Amino acid sequence: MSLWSLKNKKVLIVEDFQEMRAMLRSILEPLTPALIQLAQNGEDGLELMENQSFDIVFCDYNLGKGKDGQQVLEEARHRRLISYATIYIMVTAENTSEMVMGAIDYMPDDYISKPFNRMVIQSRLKKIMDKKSNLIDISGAMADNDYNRALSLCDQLLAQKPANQMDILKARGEILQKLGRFDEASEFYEDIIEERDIPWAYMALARTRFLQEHYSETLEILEQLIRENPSNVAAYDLMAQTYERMGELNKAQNTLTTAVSKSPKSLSRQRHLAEIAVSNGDYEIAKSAYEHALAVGRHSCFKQADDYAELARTLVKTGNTDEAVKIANRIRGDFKDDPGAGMVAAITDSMVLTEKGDTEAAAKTLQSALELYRHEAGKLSVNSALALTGLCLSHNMADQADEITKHLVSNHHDDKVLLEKTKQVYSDAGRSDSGNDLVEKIKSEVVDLNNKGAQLLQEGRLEESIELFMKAANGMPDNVVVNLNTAYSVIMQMKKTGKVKKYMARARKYLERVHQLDPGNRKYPELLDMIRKISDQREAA
Amino acid sequence: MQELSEFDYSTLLASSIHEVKNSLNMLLNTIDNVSGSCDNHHCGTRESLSYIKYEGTRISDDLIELLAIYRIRNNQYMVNIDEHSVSAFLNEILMQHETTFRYRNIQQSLDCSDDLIWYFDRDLLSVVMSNVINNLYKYTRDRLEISADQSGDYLLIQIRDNGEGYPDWMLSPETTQKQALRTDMAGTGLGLYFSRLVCGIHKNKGREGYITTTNDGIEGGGCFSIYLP
Repeated sequence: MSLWSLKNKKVLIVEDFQEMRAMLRSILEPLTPALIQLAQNGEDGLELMENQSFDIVFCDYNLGKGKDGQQVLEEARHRRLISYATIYIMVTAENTSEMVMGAIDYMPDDYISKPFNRMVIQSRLKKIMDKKSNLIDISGAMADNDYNRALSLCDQLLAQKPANQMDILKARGEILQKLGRFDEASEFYEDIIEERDIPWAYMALARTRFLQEHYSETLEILEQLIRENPSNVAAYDLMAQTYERMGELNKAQNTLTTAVSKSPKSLSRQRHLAEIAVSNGDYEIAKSAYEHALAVGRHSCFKQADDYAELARTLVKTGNTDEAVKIANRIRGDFKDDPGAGMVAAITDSMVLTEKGDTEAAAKTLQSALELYRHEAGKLSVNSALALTGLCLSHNMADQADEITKHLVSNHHDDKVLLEKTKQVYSDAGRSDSGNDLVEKIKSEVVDLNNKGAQLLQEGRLEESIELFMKAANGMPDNVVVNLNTAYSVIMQMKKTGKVKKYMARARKYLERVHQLDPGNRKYPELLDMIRKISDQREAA
Repeated sequence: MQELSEFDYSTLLASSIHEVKNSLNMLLNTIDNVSGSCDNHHCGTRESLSYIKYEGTRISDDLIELLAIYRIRNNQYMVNIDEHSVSAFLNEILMQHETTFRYRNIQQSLDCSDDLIWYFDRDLLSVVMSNVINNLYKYTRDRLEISADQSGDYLLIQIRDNGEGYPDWMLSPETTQKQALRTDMAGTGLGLYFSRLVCGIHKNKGREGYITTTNDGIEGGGCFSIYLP
């Protein structure tokens, strides 16, 4: 073997079989890493990652009872226990292809299937390290959301015709999408496809078409992908989203039913099916999908109290109040550290009691839910807020209902689906007119406010515009447009005054909210770039 | 007893095979360790150990093939065609078989340009390759040559040996092109069937992959050719 080694590298091995752990260790030890730590399950592995940063993680996919290797990876990335520079290798029993086309953010650097020997591990590690070192600057720029820099790095690398050209092409297309340059992205993928039928390029083209809202073209590409490879569940997922946008909810549900039968182990897929089924009034399917979601998500960091609440609501609708009570109790047990969960549980309890006709107890529980809501309004999800509104209406507490609606609609005034759902809640309570009026009134207030601010901005009355938007953003912290406008007016101010520390922090704060609320926002990279340019200047005197 | 659904059955099958394969893997590694402690030419058990290793690898390959065929046929296998360095891929395959070949003093060589890049499902193709190479253990005299190059619109990988050559039934185009398994021969032709299936899955611009078997290997030995579009 060459002089190549793992000097200074810290390695973690997560594997449930003691013999396998020992074998991997004996393979890696001669490469003289600085540290090798062993964990026998995902939970222990994550704990080690909390205390120590690792350069290389070997994780078995099949870890027995608790989290599987994919869930460990998701949680480690999500909680930033490992960085983009960490090499994560999934050790699999055989081809575990259902994971291969998962979300790009949560893909391991490589899969190694058993059986393997020392030579294979070494050659694979070396290859990944070479590839990773080639991509590290691009990944770094992407992690900083600096897509323009990432793009120019890609172009520089591609000009050198590197061995891992395909990886860089993949990254380049993704960057174009993030920058909202969809026409360019489409053309880019079409050029790749013209050279060769590459499934990932077709998939990425379909996604771009979807983002461009060319839905029939999206479907065409996806149908072809599925014809050629009927196990391509990622294609089914996007197809369902496309049907949903087209308003064809029955087709969306059928597509997801097929996808779930092919690959049931996805929390987000089960959740999506359940949501669509609820919209279609197909509560039996919704019940089964939510039950699956709870089961597959039991060890996932992406599980939500809301999935439990939705299941409980579905159970109430299908007349299974006893089961619904059990689910509500599980919320309290499974989400001890989640402040929003107590509220969700109280709402669920109150719903069950209302359904059972125990009005007095229901009203009491509703009061405690409202008490929590007063302190933690922002912690409540959209669907639970709607459920709470409905409860208030059925208990003749119209004022409280309106208060919740006001908060909800002002924070999401441009979400058409939500506005319709809100009106439906009022209409179900026999208050169709007042619901309509309220929703439209709040919506137009927010629109007017944004227009007024934009007008001030246009007239160059920057300070007034900033004041107006900041006040609005504090009142509706989850409103994407308002936060975006706030950041924009502060940036405009700095374009005039030059860089000011206080303004810089402000612009970043509101823009970061936009990113949190809407990770794919098209204006985000543009504004971030403006901030970066100002940041490079000297501070104004 | 409750009926198993297709998915449960597949999971059961997969996890049992996984278990058997894990044990086999341990067994094969132990054989490597034991024979490593044998002195090169004076150890009588060495030949036997290498034979056990060969049969063990065969069992392991057969299991993987069976499972993969089941999944492909039931549309549960997500083919993952990606870009790979052909020489790195082939080197890796040779490394897996290195010890086996060393015991039998089989000379191996690889002829493939370092910058040859092609598109294939690495997991599937490595099982095909492993199977072809492991078979040579029994049939070649003392040489194994692998070459890879672009041939028209295809990647052509050839595995040559200097044994007696393939038997007549394996040379007929029917064997390499038709889908059915043989039941009238000593072997079922599982490996061949699997190779055909895997190559056929590789498609590009209307072309499909295929295999051929000929006897123009080294000194009239066998030559197994894999064509991937």
